[in-house]
Amino acid sequence: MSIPARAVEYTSAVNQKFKTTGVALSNAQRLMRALKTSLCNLGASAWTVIKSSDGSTWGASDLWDSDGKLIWGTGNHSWIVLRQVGMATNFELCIDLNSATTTSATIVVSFASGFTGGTPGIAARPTASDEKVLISAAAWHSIPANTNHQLHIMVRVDGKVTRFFFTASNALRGYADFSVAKGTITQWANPSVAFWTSTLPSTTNLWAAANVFGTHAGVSLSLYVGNHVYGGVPFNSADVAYRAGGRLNSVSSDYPFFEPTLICATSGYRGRWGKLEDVYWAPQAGPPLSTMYPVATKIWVQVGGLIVPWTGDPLTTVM
Amino acid sequence: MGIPTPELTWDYTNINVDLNSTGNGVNDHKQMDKKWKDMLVALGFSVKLSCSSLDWAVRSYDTWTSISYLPLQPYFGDYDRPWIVLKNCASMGGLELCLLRQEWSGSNENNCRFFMSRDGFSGGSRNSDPAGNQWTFLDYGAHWYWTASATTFNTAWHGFIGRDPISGDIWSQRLFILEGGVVRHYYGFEKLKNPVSGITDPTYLFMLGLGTAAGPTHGNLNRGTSQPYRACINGSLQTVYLSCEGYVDYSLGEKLAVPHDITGEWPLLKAGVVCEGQGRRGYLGELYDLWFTSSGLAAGDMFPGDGSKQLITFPNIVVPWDGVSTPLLG
Repeated sequence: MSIPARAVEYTSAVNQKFKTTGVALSNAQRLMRALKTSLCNLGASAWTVIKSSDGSTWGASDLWDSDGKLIWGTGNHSWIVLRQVGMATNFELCIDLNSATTTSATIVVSFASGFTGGTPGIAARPTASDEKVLISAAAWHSIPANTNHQLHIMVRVDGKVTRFFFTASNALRGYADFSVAKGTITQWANPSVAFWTSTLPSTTNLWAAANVFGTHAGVSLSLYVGNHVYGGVPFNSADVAYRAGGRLNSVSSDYPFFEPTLICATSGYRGRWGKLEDVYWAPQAGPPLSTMYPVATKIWVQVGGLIVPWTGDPLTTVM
Repeated sequence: MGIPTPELTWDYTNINVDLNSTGNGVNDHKQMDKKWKDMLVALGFSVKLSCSSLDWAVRSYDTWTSISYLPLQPYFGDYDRPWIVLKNCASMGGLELCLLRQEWSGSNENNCRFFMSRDGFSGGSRNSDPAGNQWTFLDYGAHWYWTASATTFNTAWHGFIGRDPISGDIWSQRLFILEGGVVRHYYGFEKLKNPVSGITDPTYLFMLGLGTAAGPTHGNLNRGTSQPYRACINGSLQTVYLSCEGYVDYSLGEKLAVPHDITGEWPLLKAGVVCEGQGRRGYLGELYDLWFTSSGLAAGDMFPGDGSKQLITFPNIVVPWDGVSTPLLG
């Protein structure tokens, strides 16, 4: 099957390399701030800081202006709220460093209302009436301790898609997707969805579990990511090596690009709601991380079980 | 989501064909075999060779002209047995089918032996089978259709011809036989839509003969291991699955036996073709104008729900309908 073109281009901040400092805290501070800074420096599609805390003070400004301002803790600690108007007027992401462990954080999104509630301060993040907690004081990545690592961010120029992932030692170490679904049912007024895993996107955490989240009419949607299935397995099943999707098509020598769909199985909301934008299911038992499509122009790259937009550059996964 | 517009031009001349009981169980089964042959001819096949008790000679024309010429004979022993070879039209690659009225004991009237060949059948006599480079589809002891009745029964037949809207060539032939509202037999000969690059065989033939109690279901076509579809892929006959959208463990239509809770629409899921055979492994293409739907629907249910009768359910797959007729359900 021919490799799909991209209708809308991306701005990027990929292959950001970080040599380990040898200290967990400074590694975490540098990486998390680089993520924030990159998201906010992508031109017209940039995210904006709405409010933040550095553990000493908080307010409607970006207080994460140096690595040392990122304080992890269960008492006073840092947090930040970022907004992406390309997705929805008040689509916001709150990163809350409310853990004593620097590899842990709380990741929360608001699809429409924004983080205007709660009693925010230097010890508590703001809340949103429609908030969805993606990660609760748990791992936000899986980069091994004291290991060189990389950060890769791709944001569509219209702001409708943001994806970033972490790599280290030739492996994917975390992946996030904030995007506006396409091909949606007409009733879905705000088809923004969010997903963050500390490991990698896969059949296990997307197809077999409802880990993509959205909202409809004030109700949180937990969404599975559909794929082509046969014989009781997804096409790209990783656990059965002889399965058709586990290796190159032996007739055409390529792969199909199946679009991930969004399916809700919760009573009252059952059915397909739409598709994820600019992403395809990848073979999981075939090519490794960083396989490019096409090989020459590298406009798509395989990350875990997905194929996502890429820059045309090689992907750095080890240093 | 809306209702998809069929891509092929469909001929509905052979839908809603009633086959009423003769009043005799054995004859009811005999007329099934004869009608099956008649329907294949109506859908574009021609009779290449036949043999029957008309005169027990091998003829290059149709001698299956009366059920009285079609005794069911035991498989073992040199019994005279009726058989017929049918050849498909050129646009479907000229695939040949051979049906023999022969069974283990000669008492199970809905059993037959059933072969297909790309290269064709030749030879044969009143007590020997025509032969070719053939694929056994059903051998003795297998039902080619199912009936809930041990005695007499009525059936409804729905035959479809799908043509390339430009050339008029036949690209799809389908038959559904229903008894009591249940699909008891289904076959489809299909030209592959959007074949992947590398498929050089110009015919891409697919075939199915389902003699099950439930008809073409997710379990038969998508989830199960039976893989009743056969595909000729670059000269090699393979079994294939029909794939479709799903999650957790199988088809969306099988997982959700309800319409969309918000839109009220039932799913229509594109049917893909997946092969696991060595040298032919992968996603090969799609089927024209055939979709999986929810297991919450029954055979004969129509799409959309406004009475316009554009598509029909049989029972987990959906195909175009004539927009007018109320389907007979046997």
